Amino acid sequence: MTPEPVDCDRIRYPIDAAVEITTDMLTLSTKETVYIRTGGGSMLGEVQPNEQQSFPRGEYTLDLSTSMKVYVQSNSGIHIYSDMNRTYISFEDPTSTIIGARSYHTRPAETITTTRDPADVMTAVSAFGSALKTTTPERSYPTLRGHPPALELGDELHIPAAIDRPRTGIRIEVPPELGRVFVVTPLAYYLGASVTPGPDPKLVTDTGYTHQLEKNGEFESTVERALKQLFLLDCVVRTEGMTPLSLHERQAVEPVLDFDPAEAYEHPLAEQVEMFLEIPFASLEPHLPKWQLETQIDSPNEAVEFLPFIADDLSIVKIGESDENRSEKPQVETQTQAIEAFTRGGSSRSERSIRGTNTRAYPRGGSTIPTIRQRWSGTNSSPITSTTPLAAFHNDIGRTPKDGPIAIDVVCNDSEMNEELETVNELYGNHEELPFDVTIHHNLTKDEFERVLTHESDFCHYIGHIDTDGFQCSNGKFDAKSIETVGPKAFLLNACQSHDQGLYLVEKGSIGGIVTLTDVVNSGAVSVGKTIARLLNQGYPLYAALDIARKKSVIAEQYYLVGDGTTTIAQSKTGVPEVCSVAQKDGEWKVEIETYIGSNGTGGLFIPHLEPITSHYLFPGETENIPVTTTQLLDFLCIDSIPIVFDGEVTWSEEFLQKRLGIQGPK
Amino acid sequence: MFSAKDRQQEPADDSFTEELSRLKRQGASVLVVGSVHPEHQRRSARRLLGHASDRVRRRVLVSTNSDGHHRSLVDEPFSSDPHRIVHYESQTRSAVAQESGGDGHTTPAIDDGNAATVETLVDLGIAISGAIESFETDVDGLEPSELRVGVDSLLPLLEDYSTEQVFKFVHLTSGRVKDVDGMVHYRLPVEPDTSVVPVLKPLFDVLVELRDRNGRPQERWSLPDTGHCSGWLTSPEA
Repeated sequence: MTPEPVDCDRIRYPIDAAVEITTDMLTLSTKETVYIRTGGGSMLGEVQPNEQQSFPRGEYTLDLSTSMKVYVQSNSGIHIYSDMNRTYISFEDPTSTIIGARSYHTRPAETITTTRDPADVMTAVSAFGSALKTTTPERSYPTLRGHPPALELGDELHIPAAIDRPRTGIRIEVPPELGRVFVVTPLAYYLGASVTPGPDPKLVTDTGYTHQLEKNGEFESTVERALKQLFLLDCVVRTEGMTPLSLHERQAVEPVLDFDPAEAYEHPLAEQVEMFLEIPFASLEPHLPKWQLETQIDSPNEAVEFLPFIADDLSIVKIGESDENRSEKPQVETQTQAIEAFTRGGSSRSERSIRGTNTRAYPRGGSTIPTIRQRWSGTNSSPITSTTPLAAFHNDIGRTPKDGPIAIDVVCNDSEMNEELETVNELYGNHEELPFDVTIHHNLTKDEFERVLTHESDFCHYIGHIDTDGFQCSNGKFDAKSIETVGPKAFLLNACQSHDQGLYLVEKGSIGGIVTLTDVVNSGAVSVGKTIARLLNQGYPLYAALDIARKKSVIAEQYYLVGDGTTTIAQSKTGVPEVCSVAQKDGEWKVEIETYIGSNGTGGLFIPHLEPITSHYLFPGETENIPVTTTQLLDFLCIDSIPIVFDGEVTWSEEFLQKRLGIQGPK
Repeated sequence: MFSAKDRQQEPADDSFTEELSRLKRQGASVLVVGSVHPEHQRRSARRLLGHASDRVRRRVLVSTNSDGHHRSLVDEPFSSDPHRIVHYESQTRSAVAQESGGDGHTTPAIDDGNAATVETLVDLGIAISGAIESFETDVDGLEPSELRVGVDSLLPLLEDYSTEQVFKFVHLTSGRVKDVDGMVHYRLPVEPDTSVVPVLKPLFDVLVELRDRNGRPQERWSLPDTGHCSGWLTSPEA
């Protein structure tokens, strides 16, 4: 049987490629929830892995939403069921079936040229809404938002004619300062709103409705609340649309709403905004989706070209406080003197530096390229910070999935650190369904190491030493600054002070990596390297791997990110990278599941394959603490190896099964 | 947490100065947090150790980074002031070194009888206490803040021992230092919102947060007991 490529139009949903085969059975290598729609597109139902269902002869589109969007279209009677490991879709007879797939990855279609003038940037940002594929509440699905156009700095504003802004009747007014524009950009994009200059920050609609965007002198947090509130209520109301799935958040929020979601769905966007913003924030707050990304902009003037990417991530934006406004001189003087007297006392021989001098004593990255700081909030108290240059986003756009197995290079340039090498070698590529190609390198010379860094691969795990001169190789230091093009998509530089070298790798071609800013004790580094390898191998994004590593070891607090923290190198078997907290009290089990953003973004759905759970949750997010029976817990943990937090310790489902329940778990 | 306070809410300027001056007379324990460039951390440590002051200081330098590849506190070029060095060899690390037969041990920078190497947290506490005792016998009573103790990172200790054990160690060590009106600082190169920071916080008179803004090193001093907090200040050069 050879799949025949067919035209993408044969499936009514947006897809990147499609094939046709004739078969009486499709088998999925994992347990999946299958969604069934009629030929007309309306939702018929869903079949979860613990269920089975039959559908009479007819035209159906099946939606298999895992790490990619996969659609199956057929005209037949269908029976859907799962066993311990797989999901089966069986047809009545050999049936001609079209299978189409779409990556969650989006990229900007057009480029706008703009100056740094706030008025120009406002006009440019006003065009971001053109990327939205719908103005219904369904734009809260990541796949229906589209990537805003790219920005390029130039002498004058130019918006390509192909860009067509939706007429949503929503305007956001802010004083014409770049920082202000940054803060409202994700909201403006999400609402398809225009941004115009005005004395007070506010949202205005054509119907005359006005919502202040600065309350109690707080601008950033007011904008943040408006975005979160609108987003949540869109997710609730969209259940009245094309995909009427049960939603946990709707059940939680509906009692406090003074409108009927079904009715609200029919209103135009501007009216929905008004209805939604009138609900008191406090009543919605406990149910807001988890917003995992915050972007810190220290100098907006240098960061204009980042705007489309910030909008695409629907990031919360914080503008670095201007030091000059913080404290007045006399205060600073007094404090500095007090501290000086405390540490040194008497007449000090050293001179105090004058406040305001721009001592570029510790340049991160050793270059002046603009970066933004992204902060990912995981499940720990300390967020994961990333220094992100523009190149990280551009490299992501430019990269297409390469053919062949997932290529990983592990480099160990210090034989005393072989312990880590041996451990991670066992972990990479032990994924049954995915082909991996893992290459181990020892004590490379500078030339050999350069070849590893220049050839295209998915991941490079470096174990050894790094200092300001570069990577320690057998015949000297290799400085990543000297390299032209970097091949690995992502990396872990498990060495001391690897931040700056990592930043060069991102500037020259990688999308993201894990680095250190300070010195790391070897024993801790081995344990962190091991945890990260294991999670990346299972499809966790960089920031999630680091978040979980931090639960395991305090040493992981010294690790940071450069570039895009959501970079993944493999697919997650369960479709969503998750961490599961298990507790046992008085013989009863309780489970709480949290998810991380990976290849799919904010606003998708997840439904853990845990029996008491019957409704979907917003992604990324967390379930409540769910009481489960031992059998239900066992069934859930047998699906895949996932990190389990029990008694404050991180372990893995198979270890947990063995230790706590005495059962051989998944491999 | 050590939230930034509005300057308006702070007590008057004088009281910040007075409070620091009182701590200097009566002894103080300082926690330095913030994952910043090692050079920034070293500069902060040098100041807390009273470097470049024309007063005689007696110092105990505690190094917990046993990996010989990195400069630690003990490698700092200090003046001829009396000092003692204590090395803590991370347990797991020394096990690796023995297995590989390599020379994983650090040679103390100055090995003239004033350096000690220990392998457990208990021994570390005893060694620091012993070093302080030897200063006490050298002179007839230490001047306020003449004794300066610096621990170059709590992280390896937190890696090898439970938070409770480290808490106890810090409590006892700080108490010993403050008994002779000395000043002790501990580096913890993690972000201030790391979960371990609030746990250890009650042990300290002063919290110094380090950060980096656009390549500019900054610091903020808070006195948790009194609620004083400086704004973010540009860190001095030396």
